[in-house]
Amino acid sequence: MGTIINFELGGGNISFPRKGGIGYDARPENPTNMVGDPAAPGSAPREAGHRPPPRELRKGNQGSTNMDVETVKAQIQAGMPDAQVNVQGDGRHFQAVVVSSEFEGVPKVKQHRKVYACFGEELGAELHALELKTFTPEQYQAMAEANNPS
Amino acid sequence: MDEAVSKKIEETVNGSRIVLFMKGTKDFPQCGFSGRSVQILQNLGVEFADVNVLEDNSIREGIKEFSDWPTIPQLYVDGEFVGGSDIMLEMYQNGELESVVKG
Repeated sequence: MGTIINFELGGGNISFPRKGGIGYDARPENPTNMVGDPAAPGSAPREAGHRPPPRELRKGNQGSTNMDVETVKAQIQAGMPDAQVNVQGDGRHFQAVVVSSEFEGVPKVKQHRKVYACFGEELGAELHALELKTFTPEQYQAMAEANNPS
Repeated sequence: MDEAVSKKIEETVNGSRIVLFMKGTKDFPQCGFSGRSVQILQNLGVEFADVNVLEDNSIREGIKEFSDWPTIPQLYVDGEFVGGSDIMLEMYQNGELESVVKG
C-alpha cells in the first residue's frame, strides 16, 4: 500500500524541526489534479517560508486507494460545486485542499465548517480523518506566485 | 444534546483559559492530530487544560455539537472555540496562535 510519509501522524510520534513548519504540509502535491488550477501547470504552491519536504517525501498519490480519494473529492465537489479540490489519502486519513470563492470574507473556522458540511456521519467514522487547507482563489494564486517568482 | 452535558462542557471551557479537547492526555496523546496539537501548545510555552474525550463518551459526542465541529482535537481559548488541528497548525505557523493564546 502506498503511503504518503509526511502525512503519517499515528502514534503521537511527531518531531518538530527547530525552525520552520511542523511535519504536516497539505499543499497540493500534484497540482495537475486541480481542476482549472489558477497556478501555472507544474507549479507546486507552498506557504511562504515553508521548507519543502525532502525529495523522498514528495511522491504524491502513488498506489493509494484512489477510489476512496475520488469519493471524498466528489463529495466535497457535490457540496461546493465551484470549488477546486485536491484530495490525497491512504483510505483512512485524507488531506484535502479546497479553493473556493465561497470562502471570501469568511473566517477560517467557517471555511472548514463549509467543507465538513459536505459530509454526514461518515466524518469521524468511515472517514477517520480529513485534514483541510482552505483558500480563496486569490489567496491560492498569491501563494503560488509568491513561491514561483517569474 | 443533554443539558447536563452541555453545562459540563460550558463549565469546562470556561474553567481554564486554554482548554484542549483531545484523544488521550497531554502526556499520552492517543491520536496523531491530538499529539500535534499538544506539541504546538507546548512549543508556545503556554499552560493549558487537557480534556480526554476518550474517557467520557458524552463529552466526546457532545463537544462536536457544542462547537458545531465534527472532529477532535478542539481548542478553546477564553471560552471561545478557536479551531481544530489544521487551524491550530496554520495559526501556529503564521504567528496568530501565539497572540491568541498569549493575548
